[in-house]
Amino acid sequence: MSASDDDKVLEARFIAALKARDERAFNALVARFQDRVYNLIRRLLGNPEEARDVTQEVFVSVFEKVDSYRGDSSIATWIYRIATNHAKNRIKYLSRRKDRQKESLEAMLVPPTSSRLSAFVPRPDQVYTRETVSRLVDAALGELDEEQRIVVVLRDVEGQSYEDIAVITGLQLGTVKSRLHRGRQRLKEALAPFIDPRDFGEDEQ
Amino acid sequence: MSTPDPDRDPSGAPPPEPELSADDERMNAWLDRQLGPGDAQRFEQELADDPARGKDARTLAQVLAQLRTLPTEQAPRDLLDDVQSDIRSRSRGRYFGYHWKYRFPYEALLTALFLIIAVVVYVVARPAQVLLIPIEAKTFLVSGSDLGVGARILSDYGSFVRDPEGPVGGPWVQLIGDVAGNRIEALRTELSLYPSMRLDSEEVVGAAVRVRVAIKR
Repeated sequence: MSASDDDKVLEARFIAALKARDERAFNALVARFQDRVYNLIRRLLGNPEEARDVTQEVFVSVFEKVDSYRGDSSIATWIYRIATNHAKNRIKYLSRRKDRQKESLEAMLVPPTSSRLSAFVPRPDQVYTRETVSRLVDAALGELDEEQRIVVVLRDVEGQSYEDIAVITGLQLGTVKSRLHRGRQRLKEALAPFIDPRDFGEDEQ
Repeated sequence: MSTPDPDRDPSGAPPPEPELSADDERMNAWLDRQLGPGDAQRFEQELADDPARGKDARTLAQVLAQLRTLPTEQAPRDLLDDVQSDIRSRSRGRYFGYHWKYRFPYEALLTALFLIIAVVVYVVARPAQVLLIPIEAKTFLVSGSDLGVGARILSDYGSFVRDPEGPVGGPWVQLIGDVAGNRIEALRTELSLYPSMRLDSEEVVGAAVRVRVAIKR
């Protein structure tokens, strides 16, 4: 029996234990995926508190719905699918709430809020730290529309394959590619003022 | 907030997307390092020949490099506790319970209780066992004179007389007699059928067995 076969047997046993609601198996699953799921949701929502809340909901949902996992994709892809759908629901919920708040604010004649990126307008002498760049990229991701953000985060932050992204999002492969391309272009436009293309070298490509 | 179904996209059917041009497809493939060595070299030559496009591609590659090196955000360390607590609450203590009242096997207890009740009902309500009584015994039981009928039964096995050492008074009268050794088993069987007769003792005397039998008056 090859190592790959061993892995499949172990994975099958693991899934069987999860379906039997084995608490130790579930704890192991959370330990295995919690950072990946949290990181994905954190990048999609941009808010650590909301991300924590949604990550918790995702694992509860995994526990409750594990019987519906049929093994058509890897368990990781299945969990990413649940996480993405939860994040989309939360984005919609937050967006509706934000709209309501905006309406009430407009009544008080508050000027529209500027782009989050405006907080990062560069000064000529400014040297960006890694943390600043991270916040900058995070803010630029937040400027993307929800559909593009999901595909860009899954591909360029989480490193998922196009095929897995299609399974996770339920989109056609062509749609995944076009959304990714447009999302990348928008990110480039948003981040271009902060990036010196001369820095581009072999190590980055 | 309701829990969404993970098998369904909450936004419904996605709107149709315009297809990518061949150039955009190649740009994506180059950024994803999915071009073969020859194709990649040709594409990079095209970028070198077109400075505006080259700058565009380098900026994009820089942006992707930033995305790919974003630090992984760590999940809160107490996330598992919160998840377990949520599941415990939703399952009303069935899973991840820590208190005995959540862990108590109510289902097993109910099943055991049900089985016990079923057994008790069966024992109490079942029909009484039918005692197979031979014709002689029926006669014996309904005759109203147990002593006489009993004595007649005993006479089939040998000669019986009232035991002079037997109890005087009371409901029982003791008879004594000798029964052939080969018939003692048959006598035991027959006496066991009659509640008004009782085999009190057996004593081997030569080839016979001396027995004492009590008969209810």
